[in-house]
Amino acid sequence: MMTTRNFLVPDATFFIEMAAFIAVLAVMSRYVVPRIRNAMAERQNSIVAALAAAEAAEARTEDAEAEAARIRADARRDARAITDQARAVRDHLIAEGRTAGVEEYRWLAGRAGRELQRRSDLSSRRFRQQARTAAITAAQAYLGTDVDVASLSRLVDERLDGGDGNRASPAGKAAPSISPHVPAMVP
Amino acid sequence: MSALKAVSIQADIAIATLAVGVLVVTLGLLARPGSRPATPRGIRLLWEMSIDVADRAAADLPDEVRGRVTATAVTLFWFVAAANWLHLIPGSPLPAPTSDINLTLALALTAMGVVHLTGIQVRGPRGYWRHYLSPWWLAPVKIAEEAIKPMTLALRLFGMVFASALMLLLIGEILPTPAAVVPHVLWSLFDVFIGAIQAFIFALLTILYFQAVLPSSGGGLTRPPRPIPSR
Repeated sequence: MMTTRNFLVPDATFFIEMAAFIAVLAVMSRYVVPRIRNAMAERQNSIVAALAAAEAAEARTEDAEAEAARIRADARRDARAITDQARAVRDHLIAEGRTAGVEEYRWLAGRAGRELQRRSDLSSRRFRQQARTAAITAAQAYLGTDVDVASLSRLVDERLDGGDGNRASPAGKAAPSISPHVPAMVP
Repeated sequence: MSALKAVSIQADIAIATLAVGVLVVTLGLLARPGSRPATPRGIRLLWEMSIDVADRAAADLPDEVRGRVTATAVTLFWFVAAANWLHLIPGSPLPAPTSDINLTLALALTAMGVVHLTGIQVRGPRGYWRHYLSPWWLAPVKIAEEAIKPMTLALRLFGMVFASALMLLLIGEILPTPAAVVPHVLWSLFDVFIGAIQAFIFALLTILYFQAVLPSSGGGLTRPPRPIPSR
């Protein structure tokens, strides 16, 4: 006689399956799940630590950027001060150079004027001397006798100092002084 | 002689259960972190996901028992899921052991046994029994509930998997072979989904039963936010 089993009623297989599951549960609870949980916790801790380190690094970066901005602002301010100072020095040097140049120009112009005057006087003296000598020689040759040298020389000087003498001899006229024109030429 | 006949063992169910046990333990041991890289991949990723979900669900339980609760729930989940899916492997000669009342009842009773033992360990025997007596007039209901819990756990799982296996059998019996292929494949895919859902429900209910007998450390089913530093 064949008996049919009621599928809602457990049989002895129940004990085998309970023993099997308890064994599996024991192995999993002891050797598998705790290790995986520990690994997960370690990884989470390392991630949290890495995030904290990243946050600290970000804070340091922000501090460094603020410090860099401050240094840039200081550098700009210093550069501006140096530029202003250099500009003032430049203006001062230009003014100084201009003053020195004007003074040197005046000195050179004065020296040139004096030199011109000296040479003009020298030429005038030579011309007078030559004129006197020529007049005396011509007078002696014309008269055939000695002439009063002093009188003739005075006469020649008077003629040279007069209007005709000036046209006849440019050297006889006193060289114009350039000194009055010098200030007009100064920039 | 009649006593020996009463000790009947269903060999295919027992072998299927042992196969599931070996499979789960093997996969668990393979998923253990060893000299592998820290980034989880493959089977280990699945294990870590399941452990994380169980940990979150058990977040308000005392720390000293949370590991045990998580281990029990995760083991139940993978064991039940593997048992549900066993008969879906193409060419598998083994039936789904959860389509037999023996395994589902064994799982439920074992789970409830762990729950009660943990409750007694945490609360102490006197404190554990005292919570059934507050208020005293509800004690019969609470005790009956404790008896009903494993029955509901076992019968829910057994009913779903048994019905699913029965559906596959009916599809094969009613429809001719060529016409039965598509419904068979579709129902098998649906069975994979149902098997995972049933395993999840079994594990989640076990965690809830743990929470019913253990003192709460605050919070709820969801874990409080992790202490990730603000950026």
